[in-house]
Amino acid sequence: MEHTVVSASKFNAWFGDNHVVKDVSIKIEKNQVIAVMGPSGCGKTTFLRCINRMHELIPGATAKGSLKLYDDDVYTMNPIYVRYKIGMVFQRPNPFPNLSIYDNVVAGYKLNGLKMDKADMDNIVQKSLTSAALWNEVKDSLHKKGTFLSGGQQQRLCIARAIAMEPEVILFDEPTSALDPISTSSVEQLFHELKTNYTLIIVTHNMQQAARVSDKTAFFYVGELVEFDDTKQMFTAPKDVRTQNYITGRFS
Amino acid sequence: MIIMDIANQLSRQPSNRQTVVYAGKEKSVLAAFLLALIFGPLGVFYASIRGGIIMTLICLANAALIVLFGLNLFLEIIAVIVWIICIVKAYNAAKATIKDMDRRIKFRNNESVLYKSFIIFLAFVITLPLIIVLLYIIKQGVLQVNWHFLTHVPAPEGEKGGGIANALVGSLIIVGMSSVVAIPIGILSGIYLSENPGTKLAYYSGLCVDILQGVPSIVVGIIIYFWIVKPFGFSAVSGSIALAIMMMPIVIRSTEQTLLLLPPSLKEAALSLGVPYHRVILKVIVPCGFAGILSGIILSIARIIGETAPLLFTALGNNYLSANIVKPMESLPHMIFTYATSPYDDQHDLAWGASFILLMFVLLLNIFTKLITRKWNIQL
Amino acid sequence: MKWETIFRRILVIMSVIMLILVAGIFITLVVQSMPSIKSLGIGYLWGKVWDPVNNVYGAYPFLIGTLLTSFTALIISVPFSYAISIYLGEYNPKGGLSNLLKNTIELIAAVPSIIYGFWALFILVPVVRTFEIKIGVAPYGVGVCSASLVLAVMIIPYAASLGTTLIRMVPSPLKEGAYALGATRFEVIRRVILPYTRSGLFAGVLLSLGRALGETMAVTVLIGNTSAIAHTFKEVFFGPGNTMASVIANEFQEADHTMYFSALIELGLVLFFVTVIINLIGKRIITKYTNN
Repeated sequence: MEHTVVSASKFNAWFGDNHVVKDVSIKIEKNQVIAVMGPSGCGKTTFLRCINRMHELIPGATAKGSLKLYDDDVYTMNPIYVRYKIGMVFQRPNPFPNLSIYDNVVAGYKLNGLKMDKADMDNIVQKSLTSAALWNEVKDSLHKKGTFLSGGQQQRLCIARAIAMEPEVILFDEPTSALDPISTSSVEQLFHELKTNYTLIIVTHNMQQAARVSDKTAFFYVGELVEFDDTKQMFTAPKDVRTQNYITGRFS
Repeated sequence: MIIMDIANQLSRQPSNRQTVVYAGKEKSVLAAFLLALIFGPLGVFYASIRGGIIMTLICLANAALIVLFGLNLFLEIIAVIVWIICIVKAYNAAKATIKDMDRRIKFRNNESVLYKSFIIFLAFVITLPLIIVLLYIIKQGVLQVNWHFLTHVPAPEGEKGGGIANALVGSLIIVGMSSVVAIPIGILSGIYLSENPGTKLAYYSGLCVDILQGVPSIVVGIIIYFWIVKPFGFSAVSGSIALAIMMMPIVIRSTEQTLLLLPPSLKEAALSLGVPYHRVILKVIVPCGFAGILSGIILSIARIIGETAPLLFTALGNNYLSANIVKPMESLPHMIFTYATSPYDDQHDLAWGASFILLMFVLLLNIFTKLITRKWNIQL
Repeated sequence: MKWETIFRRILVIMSVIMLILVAGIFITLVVQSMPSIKSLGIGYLWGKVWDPVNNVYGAYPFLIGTLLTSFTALIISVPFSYAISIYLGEYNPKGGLSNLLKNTIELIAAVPSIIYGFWALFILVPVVRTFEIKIGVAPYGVGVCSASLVLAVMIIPYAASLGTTLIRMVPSPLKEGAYALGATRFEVIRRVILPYTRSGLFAGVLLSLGRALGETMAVTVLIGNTSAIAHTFKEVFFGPGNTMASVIANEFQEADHTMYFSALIELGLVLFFVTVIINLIGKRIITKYTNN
């Protein structure tokens, strides 16, 4: 029996007066890859950023409704804690330029001023980099700064950084849109391996990517969640006409 | 060692996560802070053994240097800096040992709020000195200013009354002459820099502009003394030239920046109409950048109208109202300097009045610049 | 066509004037300080006695005075410029209150230095005097202490405005990455923003220092104009002194023989070198930053 990891019920979000996410209700289950797609401005990224409470960092941004991690409402928990449990990988790889690869992976711990035994830190670094399929490529240059890494490698470093915090859920905001095709496929490969331990929610502009990597897909349109179904089902026989139009390219 | 499981904070969650081991016993942050505050390097030992050792060694090294080289002048300053570093180190070390996740997060949130209040306090406390200075000058100066004050020269020493007419007129004349020299040279030089950005001359010339901007005003005064006063005697002209040297870098830089921001298509459009280069620059480009160049000019005037040092050995001062530019001439800042350091109260009163006038002038010029930049929306 | 060439020539000449000016300044300073350089040599810089009457010249008291006032002013001003930069750059970049603060800072820079000096002479110095009585030093009032305090206020705008620009330039994705890892705002400032802008902020401090070193009038009025060195730190700091700029301002007119003159000019030369180098280093760091 699968457990529901993230659930939203009549969730709304605004930028000032602009109603960007309208009455979204969704139940996301553990250890699955969920793709979130839709045309530009449909609210998918905003919704994603509400899950780990990054939305409220923008001045004038508000949200209302129920958004839960397991049975705890995300908006009643301490946001720092929420971000420990729900990690995020961004569109452009953003490793910290003044830190070495090693320090980047444990940045989550270092930023919180945690002091750990070196052995534990080494352990975490190795585990995270291995899970991000980057260990073999960087294990001899852990203490160098990550500037020599390619775009795909930098993105996998960011994934390793998120994994090091041992979250329940990892959110991806168009993670491969700034990468070349080879790096893209290496990151997509990763999604498949990561889902055994984590739940992945991936916002993507690329329908083919959604079809390739996800178990279920959510389609957003003008702030509403139009359809949420198994990927295979959605791409072959969508239930809503808007989904149909988007998939067949009538609008993007 | 205490083993802590982050995942257990969530309700009903099985802990299949790797555990994070926190090294060492927990220390109270407040205790660490106070101990370091009182005992300095030795107080750091409470929070962190390693930190304590490092800080004590640094302290001893400092003491050794001071004793060996007799630099006891800087002992106190170094001691204060080392003390502050000790406090910060102890604070961080103790903070790192908080075990309970919730308490830790709460601590960090409080820390963030405290920091913000501290920053806001520091940032705004700085407005106090300015307000005090302005209020005082206005209070003391406004009483002095009346028509008599503005139209008469200072009374002889020890006598009451008089005014600042000579300084007022002098400042206007000197600054006027400086502008006449600095503005054309500044604008033309700025045009050259913006039109030929890659050339060697532009590089070295720009370097010289930066150098000139950094030269202390007293040095400029000395130079003009040798170039102009020695051969020709003290005069208002020499003062103007000294001030012009200080005006030029500001005018040059603002002209250059304004012109660089103009779209290149502007110049191309004019050239393609067959307009000769010098007309393109003088009739199209410069008028378009007029607002930016004007603000640069006004800013530079506001800057030099208050400069005293270059005038100390050039224009000197003059107790009489004079418009003779080849003789010494009084100016507002110079008069303030002379009268501020004189023993007579009457002269102090004149200095307050002069300060008030000078301050109002500078404020008006700055406000005027602000209005121009806002209206024409320029970056300076 | 003729006018065009003339115009272009004029532009070039104007730029060459800059080179001539700087070269001229440098050459004049060197030539005029030659007599002193030749006869006093490098020992001039740590000669401890300045006695023009007996033709003994030593620049040490002025070096100490300049360094002490400038560095003390710098140390006092840094926390404030830093706080202003962070406030205007990160906490409150837009809006009415931030504009108010920004304008106030620009106003501080706009007030002529002689006005600061004059005001401080009559308002600050008595306060310092009472303080000195309390801590048991000779109550001069004027001296390194007062000069440093006023200088500190005067140089705050330079580092503050540069710092604000730099902090605003920190790319958002970097900050977001840190927030997403669960950092508090303080931690983002401390561990992401500050390391990123570190060298730029240092350049701002250098520019402030350059300004402090070259400041003449406010210091001259407040420094007390004594060329002897006291013995203990307390005496030096709370007592009167002299800086290179202030001794030139005060004694230039009185210099009656060549040696005296030339010794003063040599001070001007040292001042010129030091301020120019510091300013150039600062500007170089900043251009590197804005090109990145």
